[in-house]
Amino acid sequence: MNSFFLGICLFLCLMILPCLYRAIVGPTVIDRMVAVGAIGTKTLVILILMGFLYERVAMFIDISMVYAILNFLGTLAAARYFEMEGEI
Amino acid sequence: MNIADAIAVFFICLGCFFFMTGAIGILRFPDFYTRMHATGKSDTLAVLLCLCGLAIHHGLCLDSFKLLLIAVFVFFANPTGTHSICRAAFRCGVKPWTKKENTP
Amino acid sequence: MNNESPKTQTKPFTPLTSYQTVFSQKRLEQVRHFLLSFILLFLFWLLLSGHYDIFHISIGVFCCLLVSYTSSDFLFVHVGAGDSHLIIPRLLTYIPWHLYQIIVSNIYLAKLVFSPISRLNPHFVPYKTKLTNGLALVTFANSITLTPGTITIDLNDNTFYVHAIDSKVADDLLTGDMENRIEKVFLPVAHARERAGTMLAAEANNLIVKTIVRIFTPFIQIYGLYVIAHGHYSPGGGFQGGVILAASIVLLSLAFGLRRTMSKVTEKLTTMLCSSGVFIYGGLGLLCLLLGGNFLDYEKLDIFLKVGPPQARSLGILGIEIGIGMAVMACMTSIFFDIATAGELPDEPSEMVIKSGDALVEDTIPEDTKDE
Repeated sequence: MNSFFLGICLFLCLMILPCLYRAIVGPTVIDRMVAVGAIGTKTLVILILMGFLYERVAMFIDISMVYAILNFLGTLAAARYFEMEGEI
Repeated sequence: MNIADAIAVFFICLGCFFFMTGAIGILRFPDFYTRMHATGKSDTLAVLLCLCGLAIHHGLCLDSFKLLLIAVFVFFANPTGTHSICRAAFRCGVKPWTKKENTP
Repeated sequence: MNNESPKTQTKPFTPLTSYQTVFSQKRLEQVRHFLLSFILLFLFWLLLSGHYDIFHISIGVFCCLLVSYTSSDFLFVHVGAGDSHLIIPRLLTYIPWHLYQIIVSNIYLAKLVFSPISRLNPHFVPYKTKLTNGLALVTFANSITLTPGTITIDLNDNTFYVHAIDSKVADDLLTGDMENRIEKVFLPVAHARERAGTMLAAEANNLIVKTIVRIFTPFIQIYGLYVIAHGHYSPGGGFQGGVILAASIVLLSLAFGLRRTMSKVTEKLTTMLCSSGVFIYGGLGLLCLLLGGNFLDYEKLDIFLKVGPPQARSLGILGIEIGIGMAVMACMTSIFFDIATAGELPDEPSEMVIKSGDALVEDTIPEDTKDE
């Protein structure tokens, strides 16, 4: 099962690449924010998979929960900032 | 490999498939709003599926419930984040891509 | 909590008995909300904790009492219509259909992703809804975002602005099937705001984010307290827990506006929390020093606590974690406020618009949003 998890981790890292492309190239700032959010979601799953790989699930679950909260907060903060600025 | 693990592998693979569609959608779709379709929908379901699969693999214990808790959090937080950032773009006047203008 | 004052002011000539019934009903509802949120948060704590001895459970009870005191109005809002208990079982029957819709939606999106871009036909669709209850609207908005080909962009005057990726999916939404299902779930309170005679339009500003943040905040605070209290078993401790607590306050101010949050979490409060946290940390350390040990040599605290050295060490660490947690949370919050305001409170036009619904929105914010 461990090698399967490792494979999934690698696959998710590969899936981060398109988002990274969008975060670097993305025509507008808000595109970049969205891409960063998507990378955050994938990272959340990778963190839990790492917990399974290192056999310290409880610890990594706590970390990924904080990661989920901060990811949500970051998206909201960006949205709020753009709304107050009024332009992108 | 017992039956629970088989179900878990199936769920996780399905989740990875939806992660892939989301990533390709981000890469391919023409404008901001359509890209939000890709991230907002696929990532939510993909996280849900992956975490459920991992919870099934882990068996019935407290950590599995915590995994489901994260899934529930993402299930509510992700559409809200999608909405809020789309709203910001809408209010800032980001022009949507339309079929008429871009295809003859 | 000054919930009873608007009613009594608008009807000054009603007999005394009706005053009393209104007052006691409000009081009763507040107590019920407090108990319900306490039970919910305590269940959440038990799920997180995993240590079921008397010591940890008593910490849990204390934390849950604290959070449900400061934010009991966050989880359960006064809707002005009774009999809202049925919502939860009916919501459970709605969720399987919703999950099915999400899967359909993703398969549809997967097809679109692999087909040529000319197949897309994105456009905005306004959709007038008959729902008025806040929670029902939020459920509907998030359902729209997750179901095939549509995203809620904006919510204004009971009108959803929906971005549809294809013309076919917009037709699916316009049949109103989903709305009817949600109306059925929220039936007794779906039109509650209308009955109460208040307009939704003013409150609708950022309604979705406000509602979700309102519901999340107590749970995030409990999570932060859990991280502080379980610092010696799991990753985390005072610093991390304090940052999570501060994150909950940052979330609140993002959703409800700086002005309103800063009126609850005042500068005085953060300064007091910060200094008392540092005082707890330094005081415990110095106490150990005075008792003849090293700085933060917890075993020497045994004289006061009358337990064995290992327990004394564990309790000492907990005390230090609490001190650090308070200090870090207060520091982070005040740093955020300082950076966000740059010394002076900005005018927030989006918050100023709210006028007629202000009283209602105010109800959702308790007296003190603080923690610890």
